[in-house]
Amino acid sequence: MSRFTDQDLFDYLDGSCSKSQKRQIEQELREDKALRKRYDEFLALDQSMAQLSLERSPEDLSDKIMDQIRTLPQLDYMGSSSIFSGTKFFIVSGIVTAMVALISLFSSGYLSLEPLETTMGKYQLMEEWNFLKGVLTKRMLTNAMLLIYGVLGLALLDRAVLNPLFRKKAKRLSV
Amino acid sequence: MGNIKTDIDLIQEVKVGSMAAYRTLVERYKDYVFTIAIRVLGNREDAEEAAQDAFVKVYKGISNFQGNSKFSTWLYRVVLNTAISYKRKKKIPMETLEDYKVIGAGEISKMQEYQHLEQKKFLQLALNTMLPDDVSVITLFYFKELSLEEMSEITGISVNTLKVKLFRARKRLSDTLGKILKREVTSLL
Repeated sequence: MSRFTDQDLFDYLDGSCSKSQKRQIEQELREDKALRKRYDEFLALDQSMAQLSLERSPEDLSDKIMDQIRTLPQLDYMGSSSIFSGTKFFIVSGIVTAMVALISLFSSGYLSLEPLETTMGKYQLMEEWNFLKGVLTKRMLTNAMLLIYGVLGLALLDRAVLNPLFRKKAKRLSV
Repeated sequence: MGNIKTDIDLIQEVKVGSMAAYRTLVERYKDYVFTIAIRVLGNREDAEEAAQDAFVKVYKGISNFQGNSKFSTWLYRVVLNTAISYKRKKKIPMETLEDYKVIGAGEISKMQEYQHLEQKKFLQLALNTMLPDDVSVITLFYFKELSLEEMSEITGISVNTLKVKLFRARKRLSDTLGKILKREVTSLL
């Protein structure tokens, strides 16, 4: 009975055994007929599998795949993880719009913190409100709003005009 | 020569809507995908269906592909899972050696004219008797282009377990092939 296992023979075939083990296996393969027989079986398997070339796929496989893909809704070109993708875009723009509306209402004096001041302790809120009033001038608020509206406008321009335009162009090129 | 686009280039183009880029990826990998599917499923019809399904799934998920691993690794994983679930869903039976008793001498002599086809047929017969997991491991291993780490990523099996599984699968395939060939020789006598 040989001291070499089937695993050793596969390692030898794969060339993943050490040099000394390789020498020992080669020596024993010359002397032990049973080991040689096992080795020949594994070698035949390896050679057969290696010759087992890639299967040729049906000629029309690509067409069938592309036909199926054309029936799918278009890919979200901005990537689903982007904040500009699908519903996420509308949620983000909704939050930004609400924030802008709130700031405008406060700065115009239409909304005030009076009701809150009476319930939450006037002295604390008054201090913070006065501090905010001191820091935030109307001009600063207007600039901030303009900036936010500008970013939103560019995003909308990209999503509503540029994206469909490039999508159409890419589609025309891919046909 | 330098105009061959990499998978990553093509994926970027697919992400911005190029169907032509996706067709190039399909052309590049369709034989590999089909080979994996046919090895697991054992017949061309189901393999074609599974290959189509896998490519459509990959297209749907391509916007989430970050490129952390190779595209082929991801694609092979999808086709393997698709083929294995097809086999379960369609209840394609695993064959036994008894199924080969019916091969007649006439068919064998015809096969002898096409040695390569014969060899291929016997190998596929032997593969059909094995578990899908073992077939997957063997198929990927003999692609020769994949490292054990990549195979581990595709199959979801740790490298150490994979080595053991691979050894057992090769041993089993060798034994089964031996039995099939013995049977064929016996039927010829």
